[in-house]
Amino acid sequence: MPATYEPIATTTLSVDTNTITFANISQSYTDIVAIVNGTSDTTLSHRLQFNNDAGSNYSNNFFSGNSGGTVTAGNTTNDSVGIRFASQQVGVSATLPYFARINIFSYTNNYFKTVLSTLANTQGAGGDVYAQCGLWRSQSSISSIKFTLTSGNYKAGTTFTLYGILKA
Amino acid sequence: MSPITELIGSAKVYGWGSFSEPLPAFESIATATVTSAGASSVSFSNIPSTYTHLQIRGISKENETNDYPTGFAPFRIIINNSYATSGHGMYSNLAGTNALAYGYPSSQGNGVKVYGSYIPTGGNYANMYSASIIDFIDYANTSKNKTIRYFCGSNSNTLGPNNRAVAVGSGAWYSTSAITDIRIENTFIGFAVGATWSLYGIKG
Repeated sequence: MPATYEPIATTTLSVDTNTITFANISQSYTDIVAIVNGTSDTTLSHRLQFNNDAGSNYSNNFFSGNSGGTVTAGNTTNDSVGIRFASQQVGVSATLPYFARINIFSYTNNYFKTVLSTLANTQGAGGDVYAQCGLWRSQSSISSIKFTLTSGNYKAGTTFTLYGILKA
Repeated sequence: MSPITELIGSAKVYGWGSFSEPLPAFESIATATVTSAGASSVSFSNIPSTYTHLQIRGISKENETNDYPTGFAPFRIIINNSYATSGHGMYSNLAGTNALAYGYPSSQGNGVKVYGSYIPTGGNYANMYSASIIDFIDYANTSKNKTIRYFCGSNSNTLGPNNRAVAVGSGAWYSTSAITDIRIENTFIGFAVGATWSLYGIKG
């Protein structure tokens, strides 16, 4: 019997990598929480894809604020790569990692899957924070989670960790 | 136990067996699910004071077919049957531009309003739910007033600009009593079947 909140798997990159996938995810939990802590060599957006679904089934809406005082809100629709869980301003520092917490709700039920995530990123005097709600329009249970970049790589040393949360 | 990760590129992966003991600090207490369409609330009662913090995680949906009804009010958190809480936060939706800030005093008697949660029923909204995480910090401490924090969002792809929202907010309950009862309430429309919240206790 799984505990209420327990780690499922973790990966630390030994080399720069564009995509990391967690497959065969246990169906024993209620929610999944994914933590990404690291850097990337690109400012282009980070994506979250489920079950290798490359159809136009992802969307999100977000707001973010940066160190220049700019607040931005926006959305993506019918995305075929995945849910965008970071802004365009993330990355490029080798020594100042960003931190993303991604909540995937009721990932085994037969509803569409809702995701809430935040990202904190400080790059010296600059940086940004990002909050978003995403949707995967599939009633399938999530059995794999892919973190990917539209181009470029996550840098060596970046850590991806999954936790499972089990409701009463 | 089969490994649950694939090797992509040169990523080193550790599977389930690397974690020998589950973390004991986060425990599930109860789950409440709406089974009757239009139910105006769900409640967690007689909450034990044995934890340090509480967290509610859930998915929700309104018992309404309109994209966004006039006068809609977000669901709210009522603590120990008291509506005397203040709150503030920020949210954005596609009906406005950029992020908006809000705030209201406890004298308005609103409970803690959780913005960003509206998803209607039926038609193209079938199978869509909003999601929320609500934290109650030091909920049993009888020397402090209580602080609440929430993170909530909804997304409907291309449907209804008000149904694509995200919000973060804070609330304050001006009482040093331990929180023993939490009610999630939607008296405007009521919740749809399937709306579910789970209560967790966090040990400090």
